Amino acid sequence: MCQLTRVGPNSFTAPIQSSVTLAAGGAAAVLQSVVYNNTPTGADWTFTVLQGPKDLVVVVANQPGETTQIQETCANGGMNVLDEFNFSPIGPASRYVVTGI
Amino acid sequence: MKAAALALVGMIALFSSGMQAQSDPYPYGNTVAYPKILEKILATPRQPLTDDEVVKFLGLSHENITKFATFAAGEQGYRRMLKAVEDTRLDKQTGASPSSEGTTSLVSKGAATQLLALAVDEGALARSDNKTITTFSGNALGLGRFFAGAATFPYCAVFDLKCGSKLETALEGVSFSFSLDTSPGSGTSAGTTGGSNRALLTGSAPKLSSWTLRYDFNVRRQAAAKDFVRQLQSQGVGSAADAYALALSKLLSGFEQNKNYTKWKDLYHDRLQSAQAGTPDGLKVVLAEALVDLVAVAKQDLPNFDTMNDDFLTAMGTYFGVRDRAVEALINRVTYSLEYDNEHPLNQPTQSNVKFILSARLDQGGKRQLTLNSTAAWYDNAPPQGAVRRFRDAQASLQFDFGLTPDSSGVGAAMSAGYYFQWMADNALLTIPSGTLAPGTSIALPGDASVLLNTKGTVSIGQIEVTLNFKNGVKLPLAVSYANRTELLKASTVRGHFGLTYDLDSLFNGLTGK
Repeated sequence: MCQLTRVGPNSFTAPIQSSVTLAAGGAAAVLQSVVYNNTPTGADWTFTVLQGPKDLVVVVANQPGETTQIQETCANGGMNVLDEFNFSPIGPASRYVVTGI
Repeated sequence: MKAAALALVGMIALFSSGMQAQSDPYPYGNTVAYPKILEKILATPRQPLTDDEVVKFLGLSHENITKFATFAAGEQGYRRMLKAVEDTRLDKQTGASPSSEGTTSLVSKGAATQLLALAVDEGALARSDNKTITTFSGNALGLGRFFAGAATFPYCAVFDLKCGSKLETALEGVSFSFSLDTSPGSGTSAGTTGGSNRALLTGSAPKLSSWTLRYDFNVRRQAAAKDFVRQLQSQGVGSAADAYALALSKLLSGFEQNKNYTKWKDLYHDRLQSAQAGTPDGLKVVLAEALVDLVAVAKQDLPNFDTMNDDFLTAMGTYFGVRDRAVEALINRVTYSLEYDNEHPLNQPTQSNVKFILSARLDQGGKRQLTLNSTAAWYDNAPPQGAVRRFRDAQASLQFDFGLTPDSSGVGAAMSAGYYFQWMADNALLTIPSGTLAPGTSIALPGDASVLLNTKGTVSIGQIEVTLNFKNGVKLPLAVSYANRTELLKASTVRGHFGLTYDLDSLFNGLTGK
């Protein structure tokens, strides 16, 4: 089961206190940092959703131009794709808003 | 009106051109992350964009973040970011070549400075005289850009093999240096023994100590995906990435809920789909105005925006530099350089050296490096009356460098251990200035005489060095060396050396910074 529900291209909702784990998709894609509500998650890339809208910043690396996905790792083992883009070395960070409801 | 709009585009391009790949002429817009949206905008006939596509293309995410932050900070901010990139590099050659007088380097390193460096070395290794040698080194491409007033330091990620033209790549390998003897008065002998020979080593020093031309062959290759991932999962990269993400999060915290930002999004949602944005030139104007307006909103509504943007750009530069260094070992694991040195040693004939430099990174993080040099040296002019062979000596040296501190450390430290071997093919040739006393006598020599010393044979030197790297571009090398003899004195020596290096790549980048 996935926690994040898309409400806009860069906006999601999730139940308050739910645990969200992110991953990177792509042959050479690797997560570099996840910061939720101004707090880095550490290397497990997991955060607990707080009430209200909070900023989520994700830094990823990949080979230039390669298709890259930011994914939520869901409890059932599936993947919820939050964003898909071509990686640019000068634009490795992406921003989202996650609203806890 | 149109002229003003084009001028705006030009001004923005000047600030942001260094951050954008040459293939991205647009001052704003996620053109690399979402190229299909760009295709739709410019398609003929025009294709309508969905709301989601507009938000993705204009949103403060991906390369829009970098375009926005660098433009908001102007050239100062861009240079600050580049300074942070430069501060993460440890392996540049900034001092004199190891065969030069007064140098504290046992080997020439595998990367030349990008723009300009100034190094002051105190003490000598293979020579007998303690001197202060000041070395200026520069890169042809960087200096050309600097004086041309264009984007002096375009940032290209080391793993972005398509960033930069072939001409730029070729010119980037060309570097030069010249060293000046800046010792006060005459040199002072440091040999423990050596008798009359020592007297020959003093005197007024020539101003030019040496000059060098060099070409670095940067053979870059695409990294395998699994190696690329492994390199980027190292601890130091993660820490720098966290600092970068945190600085971004703080910079734009709550911005999505800002009313003026919402108005901006509505305005440019419509303008992006206007007829004006349907051509490349028209799109550039729309995006340039979008960027200017967005920065105005941020400066007006975000508390301490300028300060936090400065912090963000520094964190971004540090992350880019650490990321580059992590994968550089894969992309550029081995580098080759060819160097020509023309030396003007004190009271010796001028000499030429040709040097081959091989540099290999040994670990995933690029913190351990092995450098090998091999050199052949000869006199520029045939020695008088065939007194000695014109081929003077051959040298070989190796040095092992390893970082001592994590990337997050305020003051970096690196240690190196090196060995230098020199084979003197014949006895050394000295030129004695007029009026100098002949060795061991009180007889004044009548003019520029040449003498031979019993100096044929081998020189071996071992050295251990610790280099402190400060964030402001200053490096302080401290070294202890042991030599079985020097070139001209057959006596073992133990010496301490210190130097001071101003990495002007780093200082120039921060020249207009804080």
